[in-house]
Amino acid sequence: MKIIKVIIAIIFFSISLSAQSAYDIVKKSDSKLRSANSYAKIKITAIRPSWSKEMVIKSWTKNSNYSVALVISPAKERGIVFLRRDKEVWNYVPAISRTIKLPPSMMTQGWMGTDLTNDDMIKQSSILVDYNHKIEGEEIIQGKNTWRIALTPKENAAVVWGKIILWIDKEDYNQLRGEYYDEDNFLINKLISSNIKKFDGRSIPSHIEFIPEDNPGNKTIIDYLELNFKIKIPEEYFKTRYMKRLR
Amino acid sequence: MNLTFKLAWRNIWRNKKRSLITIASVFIAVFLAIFMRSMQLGMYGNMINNVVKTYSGFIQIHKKGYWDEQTLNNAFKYRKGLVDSLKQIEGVVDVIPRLQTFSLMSSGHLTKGVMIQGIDIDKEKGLVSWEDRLISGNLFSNNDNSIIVTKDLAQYFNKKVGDTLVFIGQGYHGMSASGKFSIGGIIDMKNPKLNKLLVFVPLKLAQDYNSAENMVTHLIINKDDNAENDLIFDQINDKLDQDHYEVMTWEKMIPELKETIQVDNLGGILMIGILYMIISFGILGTVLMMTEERIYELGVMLAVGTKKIKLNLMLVFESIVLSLLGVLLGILLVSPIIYYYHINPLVIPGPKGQALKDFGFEPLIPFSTDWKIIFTHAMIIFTIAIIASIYPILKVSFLKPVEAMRAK
Repeated sequence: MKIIKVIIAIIFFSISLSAQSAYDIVKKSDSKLRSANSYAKIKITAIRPSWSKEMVIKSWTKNSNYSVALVISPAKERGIVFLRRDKEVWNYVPAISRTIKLPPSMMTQGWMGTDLTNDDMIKQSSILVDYNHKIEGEEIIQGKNTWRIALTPKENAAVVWGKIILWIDKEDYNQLRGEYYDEDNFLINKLISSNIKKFDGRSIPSHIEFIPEDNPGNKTIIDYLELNFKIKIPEEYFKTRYMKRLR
Repeated sequence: MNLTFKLAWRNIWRNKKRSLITIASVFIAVFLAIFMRSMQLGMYGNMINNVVKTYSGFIQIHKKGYWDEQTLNNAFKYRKGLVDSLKQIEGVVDVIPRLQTFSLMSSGHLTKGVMIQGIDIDKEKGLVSWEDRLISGNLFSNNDNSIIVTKDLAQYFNKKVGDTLVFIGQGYHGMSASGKFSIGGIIDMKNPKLNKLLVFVPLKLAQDYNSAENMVTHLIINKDDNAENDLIFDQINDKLDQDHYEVMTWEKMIPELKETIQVDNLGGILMIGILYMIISFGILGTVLMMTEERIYELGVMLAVGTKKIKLNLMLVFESIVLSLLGVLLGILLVSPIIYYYHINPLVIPGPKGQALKDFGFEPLIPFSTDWKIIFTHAMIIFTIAIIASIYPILKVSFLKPVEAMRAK
């Protein structure tokens, strides 16, 4: 009798342990990029079969629900600002000196000619809350040991993806690779992160490739030029009326 | 030979009434056929002109693949060398550049998707009668910063000349496009669909707005009214690199119009076929009657020793002269009438005319003065007349002089 109890306890414990750890891994990995305050200078390159476009933006983030992005180059787009407050996005366009609140219909459109959608920018945090996590195995990616973790959406969760598979580095908890599937199990997007650099003591991939599988030849590359987690950001940075003054 | 012809000539004028009947039947045929076709083809010509000259032009050149995917990223560089070489083609009056893209147009709380058409106004004036379409305001000049909006758009946004509208969209190669422009003029495109959609912007400004320096999406060929479209099309195709450009005629771009015309034209051809049948039997009847009437005379000629071949030749000469006279008379009389209606077109009256007007067609039927219509139908009727003259030839070939002279 005692033995059975022990066995049950062990089984129960091991199940809860593995479930717990998959969640923990994702949480740890997710929180790596988040911080109370962060500032980043990012180069975004949109690659198309016959052309490409490069731009540099500065972005400030606070508590992962407020963020603001300012376009530095190309010169013609300089001064364009995107402000996110929770689930709402505003866009300030200097050429018409106007602030526009993006309608839901524009959320799924490409962001400034890249493969990223406005939606991609907002819905980030839900990989923790809206999904069940499970370790599927261990693989070596870019010479690093990783966990292969499958994320399936919880019932009633309002999510876009039918399944997400993440490869998370065992050492630094970086997401080295991500695959995003739709509800019919077709691969839609691929995310490959590499070139790990130290920013403020944290080692973080500085080169991220976003590959939409349904558009062959298309790719968006994100390079972190600067990343700062120990910065104080004035509260007014996240106010709509400050958008035109953001430098 | 000379004698035969002389005989034929005298025969014609010997019995004036008989000749006049033949000439008249050919004349009426020619007159009616040319009149009908000239009216019908003239109407089509006007329809095509109305549609094509409003907007699409006779021939357009795009970057290859543009027609299937009409986005700004399928624009191409405007090269003056290319345009100059296209202009050298005979019949090409001008090559007009355009830059076309979609954007959001906004004012206050209203926003609407519109089609922005960047145009070179000086060149466009050769194709489209802009002044006639203008409801209020002025046309911009090429260096202006103002725009022309279509009337339904102006109404939707409740804007007048001088007001400002905001535009936002995506430019060339993923650049964001935004700008605010003031309304310089309001225009009626005479087309309900276009009136809700179009905004005209000076080409330079449109290129600037879209970050598409010196790029165009269309080159539009304006041609001489009489120049053959297909001929120009072939020559343009020869000059352009097929891997980079696509050349399209209006028939391919607006197949609806072509099909409408084809269906209607089929009816016209059927009508003219029936007309030809009636005419053929009319001519044949006249010839038949006249041959029978002359059996005695022909018998006598044979009896006095005229060779059958000469007799036949004489009859053919007679036919040719009579038909030719009829045809020439027909052309002579129908030409001024066609010409008159070409300059003073028939007006389609009443609600039908109004309906056409609402759809951007002029309710007019200007007759076509294309010499090919006259030539074709004159030739067809002339041929029918000549074929009809086979009957007397056959008759003579089997004619026995004694029987013929007894026949009376």
